[in-house]
Amino acid sequence: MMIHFILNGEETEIEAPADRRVVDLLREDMGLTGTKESCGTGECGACTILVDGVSRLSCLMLAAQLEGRSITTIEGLGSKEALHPVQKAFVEEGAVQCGFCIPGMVLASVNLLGENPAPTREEIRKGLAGNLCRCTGYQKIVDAVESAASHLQGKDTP
Amino acid sequence: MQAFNIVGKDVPRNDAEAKARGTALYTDDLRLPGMLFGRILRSPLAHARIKHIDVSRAAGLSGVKCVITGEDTPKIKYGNWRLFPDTQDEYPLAVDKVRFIGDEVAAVAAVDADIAEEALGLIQVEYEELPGVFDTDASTREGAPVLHDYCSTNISVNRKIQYGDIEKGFAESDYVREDTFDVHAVSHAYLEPCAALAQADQDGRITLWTSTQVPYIVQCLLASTLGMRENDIRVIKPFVGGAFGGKMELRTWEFCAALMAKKTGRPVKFTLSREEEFLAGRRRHPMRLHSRVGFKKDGTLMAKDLRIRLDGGAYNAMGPTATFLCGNFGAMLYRYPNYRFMGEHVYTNKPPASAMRGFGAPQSLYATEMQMSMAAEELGIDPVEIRLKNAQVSGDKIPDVATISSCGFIESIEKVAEMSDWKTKRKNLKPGQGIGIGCYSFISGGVFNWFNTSYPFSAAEIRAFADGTVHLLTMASDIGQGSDTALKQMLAEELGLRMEDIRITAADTAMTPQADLGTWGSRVTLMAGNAVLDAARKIKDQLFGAVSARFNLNLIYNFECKDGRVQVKLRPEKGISFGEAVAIVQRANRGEPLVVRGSYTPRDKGLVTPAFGFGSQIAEGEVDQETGQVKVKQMWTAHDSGTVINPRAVEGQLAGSIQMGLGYSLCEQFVMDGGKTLNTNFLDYKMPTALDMPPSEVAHVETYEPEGPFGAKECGEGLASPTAPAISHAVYHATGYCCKDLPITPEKILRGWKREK
Amino acid sequence: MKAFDLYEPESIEEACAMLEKGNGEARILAGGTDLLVEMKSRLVNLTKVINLKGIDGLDYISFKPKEGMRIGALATWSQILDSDEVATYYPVLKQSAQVMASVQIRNMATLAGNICHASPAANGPIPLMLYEAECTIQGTAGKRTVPIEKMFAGVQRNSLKPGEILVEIHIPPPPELSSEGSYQKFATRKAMDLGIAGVGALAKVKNRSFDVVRIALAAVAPTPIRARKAEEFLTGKSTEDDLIREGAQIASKECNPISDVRASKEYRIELVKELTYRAIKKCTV
Repeated sequence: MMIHFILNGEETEIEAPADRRVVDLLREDMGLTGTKESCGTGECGACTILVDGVSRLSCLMLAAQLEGRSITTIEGLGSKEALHPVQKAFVEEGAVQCGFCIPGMVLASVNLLGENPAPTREEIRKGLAGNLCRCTGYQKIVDAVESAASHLQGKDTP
Repeated sequence: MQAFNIVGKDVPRNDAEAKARGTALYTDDLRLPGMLFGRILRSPLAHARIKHIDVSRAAGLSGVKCVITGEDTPKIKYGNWRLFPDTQDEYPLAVDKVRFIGDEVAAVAAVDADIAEEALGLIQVEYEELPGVFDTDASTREGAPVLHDYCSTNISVNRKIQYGDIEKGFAESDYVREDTFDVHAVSHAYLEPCAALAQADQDGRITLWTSTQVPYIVQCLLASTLGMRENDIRVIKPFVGGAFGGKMELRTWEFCAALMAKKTGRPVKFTLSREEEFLAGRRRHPMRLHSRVGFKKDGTLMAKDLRIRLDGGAYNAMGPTATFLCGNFGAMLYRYPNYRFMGEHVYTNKPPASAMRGFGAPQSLYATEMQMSMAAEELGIDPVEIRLKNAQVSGDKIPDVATISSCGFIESIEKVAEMSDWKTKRKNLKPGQGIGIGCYSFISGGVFNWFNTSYPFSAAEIRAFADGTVHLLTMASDIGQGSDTALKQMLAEELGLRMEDIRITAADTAMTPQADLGTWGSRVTLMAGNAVLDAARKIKDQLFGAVSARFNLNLIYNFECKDGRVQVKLRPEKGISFGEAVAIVQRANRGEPLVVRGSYTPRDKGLVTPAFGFGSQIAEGEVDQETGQVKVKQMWTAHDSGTVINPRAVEGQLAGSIQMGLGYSLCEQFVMDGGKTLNTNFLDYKMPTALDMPPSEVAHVETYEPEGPFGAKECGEGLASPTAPAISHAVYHATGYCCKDLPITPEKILRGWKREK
Repeated sequence: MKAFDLYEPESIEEACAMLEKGNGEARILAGGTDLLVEMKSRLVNLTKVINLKGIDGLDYISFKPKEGMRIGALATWSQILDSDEVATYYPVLKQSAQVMASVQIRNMATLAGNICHASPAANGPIPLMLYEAECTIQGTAGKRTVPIEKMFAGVQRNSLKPGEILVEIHIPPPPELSSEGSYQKFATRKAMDLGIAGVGALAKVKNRSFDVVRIALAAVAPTPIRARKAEEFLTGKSTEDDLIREGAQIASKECNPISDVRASKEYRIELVKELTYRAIKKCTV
């Protein structure tokens, strides 16, 4: 079937079988490999994307469910010149190790800060609890989201 | 302490931006024109003879391009312990027999993954089921089924370490305790499932992109199992999404991708599912540890007798190393004047256990630490004091095994005790609340040449350019820990350059210098770091010569590379830019590029390692009296990693270790039914989430390791050990229940607590 | 995943007809968080998937004081969590949403799907059983309404007949209570976890004795259950600790848990005892 949606700000039209999972559509058909698959069953968050600005798991979505939606993948954050403030904070705070969970983690953080611009550390942990990480122990990821929050609110990062 | 410009600074990792943008390419992100997708057929039985395999229906399915079984392979066994070929016990695809549920039987390559998956269902395998053995007792019983014909006892490896006179030691002890501990298997649970992509060129040479921590080992073993020459195999490591010991061997899919690429002439890619990772993936060794330890009344250690049986699963994998290291770690941390270790690696019909962060230490040190804590309790000595009393110090020897060089162990104990306010809390906490300590020591790489390499253990090549830049080539493998950044930092420091002046090419066996044994045993910072420094110093010699000649300087002057210049140390005006110096050397050599090689192979360092890291950790927690649930409230860690090259990266390693340690102690486990792994997803393999992590504070204990680059040593694996005993000790303090069979589940605590009450 | 055909009907009637025609090889797709996992693991063999997304207006949550709350088949857990009316009138439903999986799953998964999936450990049924919700089911033969308890036929088996779809959950106006009520979920992890046991309770306390008590248990029987004997025992009794403990003990005898990868039967019974006590206790403060 033909699917129409907005992908990272651009009108997109793609022919795909209705039963194609969104993670496969993005990775295999559109070459957007920033979205990762780690479990395929909705238990790790690595494949998180934003659908109409809200975080969802692309491994549990069918291509047909994209019809008429606006999708943001990790490739759609920031610009060529500048990282998105959340990405920048992840880099600067040392929140990135192996990096496999990071695209999902960054998008989950963007979703969180959209809903709650000044989260406490506990709220950050809650907001990211669906994104597993095996390297960082989450400490520096929480630091990064805290720092991104204060940056986005126009405060100087401590 | 020497002042550094870049070493010791929080330099952002050079790959962080690409990873945060999603542009960093991991193996499964790679695709080549005409690429086929591979899937593996796995054994549903724990132990069976293969009578017949019919692949005709699978091969006939539209879209299937290749199906192979063991019969299509050269039937050459492999294993990491090349030095002892009799330990090499694994075929890439089963020949005659399967030995665990998940053992690889056949492989399919098709035009898409769904077709490949469907084809697996069409392969018909006729098995003759054999009785299986699922624990070390059953496996070593008289008349037990034998897994491998060459090994009638099912005990594949024996290791022994002995010094002093343990009988005398126990005879002179006032207090002897004897405990049996059972520690369980856990998963590496790296987020990136294993993947490999192979391409064969027109001459049949193979290029393999694979998610591995050991490109050189994969190159060599792939060559031998395919009956090819090493130089005909090129292994490239793309970005790796974590490994933790789980990606340090040649694996079936790497072999199948290569063989099927050769057979079909098309690139072939395999990516494992999470279910396969949990069902059949490598895991940390479950063990039974029997430990007898003797003390004087005042807490002085007199003797230790440690017997360990490793449940190795169906193949040796890295079991021989783990077996030996358990014995080494059993003798670490404290001064045992008399010591005996006997370790056995036992085959069972379960997925093979292998290397995992800590490599024997988490298991061995769990026994050590819990016995220290229980002995302290019974002798009426503070658990911190008994550790301080017996702690190893710099210069201590484990006869014939190792000598301890730098050692900040005592400082680390004192530091965590202070940070956590140990003395007050130990006294004042209410019932149900507890505080506990766990300590560790770990190696900075291994010195024993089990892989039987004829190359240096680590090597580096540096190409210097007249534009003031250098190119570092190394086979060292960054698997997420940040070694590319750390190596660049060390090189920048040594050559007085900025991070942006250094280009790095790493882990491509056709391009980077032979060799590097890979990333394991916390070896990269020290060993690859030393190789980089060796090369850097050779470059400097040539550049200093150029400056000396350029200014016609007196021989007594000392030179330095600093701030992008090569200059006289005390008279910086006598100097030129790094690029100019390179240009002079290049001109003097008729245009030959300035390229040097450096290497590192440890010598005269005993049997284990050039240097040990040390540290201590304290956990405070409380136990719900009714449900047995443990809440870890705070962790404190003080670690001696020698000079810290990148503090933020080290802190990241430590925090990650705590997550893994927390999981190991409280909630992660494989639930087995005989040989079958029942929890094969992240829902039931319970790795801690962000919400489960306690706050944690870290202190670096400064030491300088003479054998390490800039004084650095390990930091990646040691911390895998102390968390479980620290938490377990806190639970013991809170409830009186000392857990001797990990993990410490609420159910066990509740039962144990009731017993104690 | 095995190939299947996707249908996007424009009305419930059309969806029911398709479902019936699917002859057991068709399933409804709402949030997809359970269905796609089953399909990927090849636990189900489907040839047709019927996506309800094309049907307008199924994602509502509405509340009228006299009618109670109506929750459409496509309302997600996030909508429930964000609803002020849920928070005000049905706080235990909000509590259960707070401990549901993760943000991403809550953004996708529906309450109706959670009911139809019929996991004994599910979060959704507990508050709905406490509030005595009923489900509106539409089939090719028309609509019928069943109490929430009758929705569950066994472990991951709902009581829908071929061609039937759960279209609405109706919660009666909130009972008069003396406290918010409580949902106690015991799991290994604080997020992304299924409960080893879960207990929900509501109570109305008058003159220091229980006027109304409702208790529902999760993950300790093939389906979520009400602990009616414990409810009966406590009704009319004073709110003394010992009596609550005795009530909890009775609840623990009403359940019938199994041992599985997550916990043993014995431990689950212990948990029911303690969690029931805690849930009821919360209702008294």
